[in-house]
Amino acid sequence: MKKNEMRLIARYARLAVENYRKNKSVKLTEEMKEIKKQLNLEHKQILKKAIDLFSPK
Amino acid sequence: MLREMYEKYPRGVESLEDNYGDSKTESIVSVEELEEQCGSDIELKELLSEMLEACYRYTETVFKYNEILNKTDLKDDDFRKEMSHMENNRTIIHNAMMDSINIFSRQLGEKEKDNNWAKKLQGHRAHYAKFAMMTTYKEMEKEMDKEEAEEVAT
Repeated sequence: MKKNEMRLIARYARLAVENYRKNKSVKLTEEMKEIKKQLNLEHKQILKKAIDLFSPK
Repeated sequence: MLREMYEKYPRGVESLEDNYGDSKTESIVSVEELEEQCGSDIELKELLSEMLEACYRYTETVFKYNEILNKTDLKDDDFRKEMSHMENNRTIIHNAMMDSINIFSRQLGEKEKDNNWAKKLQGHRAHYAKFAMMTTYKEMEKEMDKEEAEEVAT
């Protein structure tokens, strides 16, 4: 996987968790919509990938 | 070279189509089970809420760390500075997250509630980390499912 894809997944997931932690919301911010378009994946799919990739094995 | 020292994610992942995002997201105990254990005990409810907040904060830090790790436009010096700051921050937040889980589980035990799930974590920082991230995901998933259901209904 390319570094840029990893960075985008991490950034998207970070923004999603930050929004959830602060506002209890899972709505997409404009930046998240843009990243989602670039990755061409669904919201839940990106978060699951982030958990799979970055949680300890 | 410097970056490679930090890279801990799995090797051999070639593309987004690889089998990532399809694994089971099961946690050792669900938040619903923990809420049931709390019942109407206000102290336990507060401790659970603090534990969840610590899990979310930890998960956010892990993603932020990986965001920096995968930045390609940073010079070595800037990369080293950012990573060093993030490493310290992550360790502090990791310790706080483990403390909040231990405090909650100890209180459950003192009130003769089931806290066996926490024994599976003890002594393994990585187990706490995985638990925090899974719990965060499961809580967000519940909210996502709720929103999807509301959209279908309207």
